[in-house]
Amino acid sequence: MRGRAGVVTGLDELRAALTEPPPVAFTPIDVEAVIRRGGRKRRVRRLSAAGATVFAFVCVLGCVVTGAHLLRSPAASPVTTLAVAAGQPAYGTAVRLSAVVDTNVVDAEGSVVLFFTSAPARPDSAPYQLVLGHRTPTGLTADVAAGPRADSPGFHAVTAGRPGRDVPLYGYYSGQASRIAAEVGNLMVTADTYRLAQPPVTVFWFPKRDRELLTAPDSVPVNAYDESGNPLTK
Amino acid sequence: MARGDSEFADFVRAASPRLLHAAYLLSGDRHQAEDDVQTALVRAYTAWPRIRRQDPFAYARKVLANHVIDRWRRPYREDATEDVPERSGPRDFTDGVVNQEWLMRALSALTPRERAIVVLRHYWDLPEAEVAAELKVSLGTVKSTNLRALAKMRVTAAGRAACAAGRAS
Repeated sequence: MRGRAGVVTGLDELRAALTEPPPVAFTPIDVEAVIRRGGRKRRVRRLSAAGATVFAFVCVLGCVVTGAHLLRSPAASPVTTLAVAAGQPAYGTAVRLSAVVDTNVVDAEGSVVLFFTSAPARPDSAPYQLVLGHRTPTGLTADVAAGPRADSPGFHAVTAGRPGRDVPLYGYYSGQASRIAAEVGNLMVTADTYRLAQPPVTVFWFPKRDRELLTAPDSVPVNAYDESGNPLTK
Repeated sequence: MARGDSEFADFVRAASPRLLHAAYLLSGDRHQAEDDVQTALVRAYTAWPRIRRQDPFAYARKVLANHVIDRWRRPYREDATEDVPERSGPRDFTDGVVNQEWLMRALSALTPRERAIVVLRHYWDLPEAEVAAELKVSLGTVKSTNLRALAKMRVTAAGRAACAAGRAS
């Protein structure tokens, strides 16, 4: 529709006017300049992305290192996060270094025992490691080596999910503890313990009766107490 | 020139006439239109590895429209010049130039968003949903803004017609 004075008023006319060639002559686009500027922007963007990735990696690494340091230091106690058993082979060429602690838990493979062996895989940093095994009619077996040994006082080799789940949580406290207990909600669950003279540690384990209680939460704070009932961990 | 660069150069040669035309409709200024298209193409080149197998023209069009709207959102900057712009004199109404003159006047009465929606919808003939997606606004906004823009343009057209009729009598 065109107005009486020739002015565009309808939609089709508007579209026609829009598609009419503009009354100006454009300078051709300088493709080289566009590629030059675009290439610069692309390089800056890639560098930024790479920088962000490196920064994120460094942040994650920092968090992991800090977290590991906090967990290993005594100040990090009494909270101990459950660790999944490594399932690495134990005993073999290793030498048993301690008495065998009988947990009084019996499963299909025999009586569950805990003892320390040398750690030949890490001779420089781990002179001994806690091993969960079985006392069977044919002798002693070593099933799971639980974590490396650390020199600092506190909890070490705290391990969950032992095969057969008859010992849901076990580990040792580097030092002489009279009682070791886990906090599960409002409940305090006391572990069975055994003090070893050499190495000077307190081995602990939670037997089958505590299985459901201990496996429900993602993490269980574990505390060590002296004979007066005072917490050894801060 | 790398293979990707030569593909991009082909794309620029094919797409720049329409992009320049649209940019001119969006800004009403030839030099500004050239700058806007150059900016859109620089961004298209930056994203070229990602968009080359998709729809690079749609990408450049989207960047162009949003760039023009964003430029209008920035603080107004006036460049002083000693040159007095030419004033348009009376012309033959049957001339296509008249339509262009009216068109640019009508478009200049619109807000940047209204102008972008008119250009995307009626110059590029995009569906309303696609216009909404390119400008990142709702479909309802596109519909209402388009109607408002067309109403404004009709008013401009009516005023122009009245003036023309007065001159003709």
